[in-house]
Amino acid sequence: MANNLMSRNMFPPLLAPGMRHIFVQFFDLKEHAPQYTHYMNEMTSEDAYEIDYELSGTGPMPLMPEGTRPQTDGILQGGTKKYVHLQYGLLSEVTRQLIADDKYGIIKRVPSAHARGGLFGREAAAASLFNLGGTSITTTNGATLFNTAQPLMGGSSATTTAPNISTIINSPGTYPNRPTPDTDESFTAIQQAINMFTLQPDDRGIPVHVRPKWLIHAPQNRWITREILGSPGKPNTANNDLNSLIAENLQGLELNYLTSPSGWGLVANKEGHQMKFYDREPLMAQTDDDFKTQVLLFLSTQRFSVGASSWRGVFFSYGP
Amino acid sequence: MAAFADAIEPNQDLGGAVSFPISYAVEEAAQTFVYGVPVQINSTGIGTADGGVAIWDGAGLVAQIAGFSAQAANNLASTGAGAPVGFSPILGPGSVIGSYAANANQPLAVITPPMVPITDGFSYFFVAAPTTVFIGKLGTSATVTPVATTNAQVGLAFGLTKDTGNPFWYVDTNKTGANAAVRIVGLSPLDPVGTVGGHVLFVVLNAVAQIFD
Repeated sequence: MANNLMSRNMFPPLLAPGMRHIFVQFFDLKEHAPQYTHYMNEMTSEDAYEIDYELSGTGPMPLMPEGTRPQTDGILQGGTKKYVHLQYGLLSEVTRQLIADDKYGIIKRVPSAHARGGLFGREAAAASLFNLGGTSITTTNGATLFNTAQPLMGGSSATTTAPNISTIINSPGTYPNRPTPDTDESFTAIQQAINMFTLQPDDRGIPVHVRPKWLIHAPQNRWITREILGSPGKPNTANNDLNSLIAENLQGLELNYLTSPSGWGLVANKEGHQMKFYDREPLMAQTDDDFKTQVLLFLSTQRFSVGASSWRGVFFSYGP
Repeated sequence: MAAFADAIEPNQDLGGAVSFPISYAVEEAAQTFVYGVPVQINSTGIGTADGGVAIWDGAGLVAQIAGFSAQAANNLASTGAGAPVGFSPILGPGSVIGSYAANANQPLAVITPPMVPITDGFSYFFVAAPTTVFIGKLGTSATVTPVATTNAQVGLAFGLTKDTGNPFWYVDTNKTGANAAVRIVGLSPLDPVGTVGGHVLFVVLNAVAQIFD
C-alpha cells in the first residue's frame, strides 16, 4: 500500500505527546553502505547520453622473410554502447497541518527516507548488470554481458592465434566469460573461471593480462566463500594440499542486490573492466508546496545510467 | 491526393496541475507512425494483444484510442525492444534509427551515431483524457478535401480519418453518429471562422478513449 497523501488522520499518535519511543525504520534501521561503488567505474556526465566505442589492436607480427614486403594489418572496429541516462524520482505529499502538529519531528524527515530509496535504485540498477547480464544487458559486441561465446572482432583468426585456449572456448572466434553449463560457486568452479580470465586474448588473439579482484556472491554464499578463500588447505578434502586460491588474493564482495542466491562471479579491479555508472544528476531533494491546498511536496530525483561497454574483466555464473 | 492534415496536439487543459497527461507503454513492433496521430494499446481484442502502442486502426470505437502520439515510432524489431525492466538500464542499443552494423564477426554489434533519436522501447502519447482538448484540422473523407469551419460545428461529434497524402489524421465531418470518435468543443482562435481546413478543438469521446473513461 502506498501512501499518496500523508495527513493527520493517518498518523494520530504523532499528534499528541506520550510516545516513549517511535521506531522509525528509515532512520532506526541501518542501511547497507554503498556497494556498487566497490565494483563500478563511477563517472559523471553532462549530456543526454554517452556513447562508448570499442576498437581492437592489430594482429600478431608475422615473419618477414628477407627481401619480401611485410604483411599489412590494421585495427578493427567493434560496436558502440550507448548509455542513456534514466530519471528516477519519488514524491511525498504531506499536509501542512501534519507537519505543524507532528510532536516528534518525524514527518519533516521524509527526505531521509527518499535517500534510502534513491540508494536502493542505484544499487539495484548497478546489480542488474549481474542479474540481467546473462539475458538482456549487452555490450559493444551486441552479445550479452555474460556469455559463453563472446564474438571477437578478429573472428576465428583470433582464436586460432591465441595460444592454449582450445579447451576454454566453445566455438571458434569467440571467448567465454560464463561457464557452460552454469555452475555453483565452488573451489573448482572458481579455478576454471580464473583460467578463463588468465588465458583470454584480445580480439586479435594476443593474450592480455587481467586478474580478478572481487569474488561477487549473494549473502547465502557467504559461508562457502569464507571456506574457499579462507581455508589454509584445499577446501573440502582430506588431503594436505595447499589452498591454491589464497595466492590469488581474491576478496569476497557480498551484494545484497543480487536476485539469485546461487549467482556468483569474478570482477577485476576498476581499471580492468568496463562496467560503468554515469552520474548525470546526483540525488537532489526539493521542497515546494501547493498554494491552494497547503500540501507540502517533497520531491527527490536523480538521473544516472549503468551499463558495460565490454565483457572484459568480468565473469559470472548463474548457478546450475 | 490530398495532403492537408497535420499533427493533433493537446491545446487546452480543463483542470489539474499537469497540462497534458502523458502516458507510455512499450512500443509495438514495426510501427512507423509519426508525432501527433491517434494510437491504441494492443490488448485483448485489439491488435496483436501484446500491450504495444500501435497506430489506431481507424475503425475500433469502443475504448480503443489511447491518445495521440507524443513522439514518432521507432520501427522496433520486436515489441518493446530495449525497454528497461524495473531497476535496469535500457536493454538495447539505445537507438534504432541510424544504427548500422559494426563488424562482420560480431553480427549483433552496431554503431550508434550521435544525434539519432533515443530509443528506450517505450512509446509516449498524450492521453485521450476528457480534460485534454486536442486540436486538429477539419476535413471530409467523402471528397478527401478540407472543410470550412463554422461556429455551428461546435458540439458536434465526428470521426477521425488518416489523410491519404500524408501520415497525419483529420477530424472527418463525413463520419458521424456511430462512426464518431471526437466531439468538437471549439474552433481555433488563430483561424478565422470559415477557414477551409481550419483547426478545430476537440475532445475524444469517453466511449472511444481507451485508458481514460
